[in-house]
Amino acid sequence: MGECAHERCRQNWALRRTRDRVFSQSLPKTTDQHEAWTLSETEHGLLTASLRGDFDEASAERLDLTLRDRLAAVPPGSMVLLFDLNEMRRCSVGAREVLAGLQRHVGGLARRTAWVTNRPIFRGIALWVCHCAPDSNARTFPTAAHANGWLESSGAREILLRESAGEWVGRLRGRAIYAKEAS
Amino acid sequence: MSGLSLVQRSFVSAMRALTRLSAGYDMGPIQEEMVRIHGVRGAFRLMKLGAEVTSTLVDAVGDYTAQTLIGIAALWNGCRYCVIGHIYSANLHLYKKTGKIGPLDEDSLIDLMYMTDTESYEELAKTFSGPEDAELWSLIDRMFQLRFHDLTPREGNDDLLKATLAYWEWLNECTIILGVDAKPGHVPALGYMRPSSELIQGYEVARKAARAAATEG
Repeated sequence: MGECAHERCRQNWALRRTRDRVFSQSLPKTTDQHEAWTLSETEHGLLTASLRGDFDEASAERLDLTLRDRLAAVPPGSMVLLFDLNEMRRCSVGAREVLAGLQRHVGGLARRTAWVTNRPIFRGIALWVCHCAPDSNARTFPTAAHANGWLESSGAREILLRESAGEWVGRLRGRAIYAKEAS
Repeated sequence: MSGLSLVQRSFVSAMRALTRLSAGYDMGPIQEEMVRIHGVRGAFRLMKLGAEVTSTLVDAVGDYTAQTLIGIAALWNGCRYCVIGHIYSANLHLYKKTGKIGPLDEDSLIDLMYMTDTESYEELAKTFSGPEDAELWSLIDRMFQLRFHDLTPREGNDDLLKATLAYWEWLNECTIILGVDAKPGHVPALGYMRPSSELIQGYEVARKAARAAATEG
């Protein structure tokens, strides 16, 4: 797979290696740390921003500057970005607005973004950030494992969601027609 | 309605008027957002699919259970507007039908959303532990497995639960503009309930009494 000349295959292969390394908790290549966040980069182009505690506007602005600098140093489309909010406890209105501006900026640079959090309240905030950016390559997930497929894929969020809803409603219709015919 | 064409603005106005007439409330900027994101045809399809899922769900499990399931699906997406509005609607349906108030208080929903998915699942299990809620809990439990544990749909209502999850994940893309800050007491009873002012007042009195009893107890 690694020798395949097809661009898409090579991208998927690289991303799978990225995911395998990150989710098996490989050591980060570089790390930036702040009281409310840690930014770590692994060898294969996955940048993880872990946000924690009471996340306020000042913390968001520091992260914004650091992340912009980091992405400015690499070719556009070469990184995937994962925001890990599992340790976040509060997010101020000012902070979420800074995060939306940051998502807008990174949307043109990162190939894909996943916002991972096991708390619905922060999935809502992350969804608001992705929506307001707006960035179709950013999406929220309850776990990192759920984000795997997304980081490897390329479809726009809104289209995937529309197709999924259409598919399941289609199945319901099929079931209703079948029930009607059977009766 | 900045950024929309004349046709789009007219469509939004018509949708808002229709919602006020049929559902009894105004969704504020949500329908405008639907048109901005999906266009006129896309927004129309979105509304049509929503009506289809809701009516199928209501036919299968009744109003109270349907609205509760929709509210829980929205809770997992993080949309405060939808979880508050649909759980409020569920509670009004139950109160209208039985004179009882539902076990899930609208005022507890934001706290529930701050919990982890596992913690809120356990809290919901306690909330719906009464024998009268056994069937509803089995559906919530199944929906949780489908949403978080990637269960393959195979049981009777699985397709319906998956359709509910998938549709509200799509819808919450637009409702999140209000859903990020919504608070109990500021969201109408969602769905097509059109509660009377007598029903709302009766429910408020009963709910306040239950809250007071819970505090004393």
